[in-house]
Amino acid sequence: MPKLKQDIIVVPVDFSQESQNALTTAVDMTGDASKVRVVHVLPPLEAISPAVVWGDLDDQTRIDAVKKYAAQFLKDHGAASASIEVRVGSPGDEITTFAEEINADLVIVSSHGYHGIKRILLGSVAESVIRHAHCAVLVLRRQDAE
Amino acid sequence: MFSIKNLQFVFGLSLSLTISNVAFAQAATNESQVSSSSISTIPVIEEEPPAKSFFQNVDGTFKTAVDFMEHVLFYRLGRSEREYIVFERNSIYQRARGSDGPYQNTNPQDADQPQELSAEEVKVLAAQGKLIDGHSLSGETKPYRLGKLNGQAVEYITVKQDNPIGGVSYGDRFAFRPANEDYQILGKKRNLPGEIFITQSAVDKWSEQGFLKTSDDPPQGQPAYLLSEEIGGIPIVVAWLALGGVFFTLFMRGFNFWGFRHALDIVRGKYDNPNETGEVTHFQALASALSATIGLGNIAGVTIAMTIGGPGAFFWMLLCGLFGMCSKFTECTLGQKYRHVKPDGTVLGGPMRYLKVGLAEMKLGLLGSILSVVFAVMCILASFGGGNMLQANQSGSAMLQMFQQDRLENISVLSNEIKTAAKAENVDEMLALQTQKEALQTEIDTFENKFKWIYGVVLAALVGAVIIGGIKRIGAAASKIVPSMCIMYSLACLYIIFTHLTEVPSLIGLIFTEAFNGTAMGGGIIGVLVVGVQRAAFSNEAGAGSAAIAHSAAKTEEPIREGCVALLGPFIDTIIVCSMTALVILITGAWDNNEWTVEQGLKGAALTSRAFQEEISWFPVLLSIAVTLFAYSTIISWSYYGEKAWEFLFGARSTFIYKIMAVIAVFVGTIVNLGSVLDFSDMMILGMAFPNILGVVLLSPKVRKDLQAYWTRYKADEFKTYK
Repeated sequence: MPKLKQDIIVVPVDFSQESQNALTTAVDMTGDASKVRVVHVLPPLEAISPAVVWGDLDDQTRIDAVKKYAAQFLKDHGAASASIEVRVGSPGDEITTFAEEINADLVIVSSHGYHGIKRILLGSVAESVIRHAHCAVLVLRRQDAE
Repeated sequence: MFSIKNLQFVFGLSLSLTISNVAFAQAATNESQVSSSSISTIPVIEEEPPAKSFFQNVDGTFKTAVDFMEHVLFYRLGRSEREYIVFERNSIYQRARGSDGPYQNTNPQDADQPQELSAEEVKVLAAQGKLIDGHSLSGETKPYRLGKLNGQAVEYITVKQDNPIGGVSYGDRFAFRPANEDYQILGKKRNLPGEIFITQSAVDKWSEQGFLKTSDDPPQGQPAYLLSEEIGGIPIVVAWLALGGVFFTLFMRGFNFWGFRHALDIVRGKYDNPNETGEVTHFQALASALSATIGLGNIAGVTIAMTIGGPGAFFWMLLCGLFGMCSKFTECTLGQKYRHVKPDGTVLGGPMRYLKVGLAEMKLGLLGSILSVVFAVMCILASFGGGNMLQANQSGSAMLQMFQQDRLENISVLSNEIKTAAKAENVDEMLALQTQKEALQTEIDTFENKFKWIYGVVLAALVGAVIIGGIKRIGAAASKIVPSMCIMYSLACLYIIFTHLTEVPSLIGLIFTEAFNGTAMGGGIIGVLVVGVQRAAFSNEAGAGSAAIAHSAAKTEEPIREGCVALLGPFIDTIIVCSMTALVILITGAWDNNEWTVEQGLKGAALTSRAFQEEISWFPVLLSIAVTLFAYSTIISWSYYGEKAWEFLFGARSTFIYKIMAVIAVFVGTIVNLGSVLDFSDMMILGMAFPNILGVVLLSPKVRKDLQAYWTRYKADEFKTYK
């Protein structure tokens, strides 16, 4: 079996503990954070939030805010040279579309391991990524999962 | 045969009537021989109501929930029991099911009553409103009900008879007075005691004749006619809200007074720093929170309070608004203090956050988790009910009334003509009028059904377009109209107030005197207070915690500052806007108008509208439009609250489920009249106050400390101003 190419690795990040693990794993695997493309997916802006109804909040403002936050996050986790992409929409779709666009070799995704109602209501982003990705996907099991 | 034993003048003015044994003994002899033995032989018809529709079953389920909630949330502290009787003299006529023949009296010795009634005579009785409502069969309301008599399927009518003597009408209630061992009539308006007294022996006679409503399972040793009800006392939730407001006001040392000017400065934008964290300016946060509270509470709530509790109820509403300012201040400061700022700069804040995080800080994590979950669940339910279905339902009715105005007026003209014809005993005329009235009523019902479907679909589509479709402009446009609508409404009120300026001082005096003499409800000031506090809470939602969700979105690093802004909410909502409505209702005398409140049965928004019509004839049209817009913006704002509570419980990615349910609720709320469902969800708004106030009280020392620190810095002129 040929060695898996690891030149471009996509790591979806929602800034949770689980996604930190995914990021660290990616950096460890490649040994070079600049090969890591971090992606964060924002839910669409609520048309009923006071910020939209009364204020002038738009997606660009949110994207800029996340980018600023993410830069610090990457720095804190030893991945300052990784790039950051912010998308708006449904996480599963946006992650795979992004991976395809940049011709990624691998997606490293963490699983939150939700159970019960949250599992039913939130579904699994990891599952959706596995199903739709055009490239290899590495799913990290939740650290405290039984 | 009409005899009055005690004809006495009370206070030299009102006529006092006592129906005594003697009067009855005579009456009974005249009314042929009615003895208890003949009564017992009257066959009893068992009602067989048609199968309940799906919605009626839903309503039934909620009825159980409502009853349960009433026992818990509205458990009355210090209540007392009142024993009373209800005069219900029924003459029951039946015929075989499906027959067209005349109806037979089930009581062969029914005094002064015919043994047979033809279909035409039944129609005349229906026209006079003397029949108990019939069943609705395949969408058509029949004059009769379905039942079983000795195993036979019958249709039957129940004629409501007045007492031939003493001015006692069907359905009159009399309270038992243990001291005098007699019964005093309770008026239809606010249950005010009247001047008719019934002695025990007369009551015994009525009971023998079967003229009294009886309970199915009377307590042991009590006659079946002696019913009892709980009166007085303070519902727990009302006490909770009121004590909360008083506590916060005292604990913050009257910050609603001395912080007021600073609050105005903040709203003006004096301290708005665009670079601070958050989503909206102080003014925008206030506008957003107000669009959830301004609406039915201000237009209908005040009127309801005064028709039930008299002008004094409004005094307590005002006081509640004043104290509520500090409840709002405290809860919204906490909302801001414990909000969670997400990486994209948007925030999630409100009671569910401060209850959980704030109490955890105080090592009360378990309590905090429980309270936050209870709050979030109640908030979701309230957002479907009081914040959604109720709004859709009431605005639909307001619009419907606007379109149907002519027909409705014709109906009341016809009803009056029928009354005149009945007085003149002109049967042909009555029949002709009743046929006309029925035709018109059918027209009204058909239109109503169609209209409600269309209105429900349109409103649901407009709500869906914003909350699911994400079309920002509709929501923004509707909400931004609210302040101007509010100003327009206030101007109309001011116009009425100024044209009657000379009456205003005495009317304001009335509000204050009635608040303390308690005559308005015939039951002490507590009853009046309860009504006022409850309506104020529904109107300004202080203590419920809902506004803290909106206020936590404000751009500021100073939680106290947003709390200051929030305290203007109850001031604008209750002290300004509600006062406007209250004065109009007092000037027009609508709260005490017999014709409107008793005869036409107008209440809430419809009564307010009628009052305005008296002064500005075209205003009701504008009012209907305003009610609809208020309702729409309330639905939008409350959906946001509900969604945030949902997000807290189930995560942001599943909110689409909430949104779909909210849109369905709009439609359902419009088309069906689900009394219990609406009551239930309405209660949830007050129910939110339980977990919220408990948590806020526990957290309030932190707020007080923050306030002192903030004020020291403010006094030292440390804050940078921007305007």
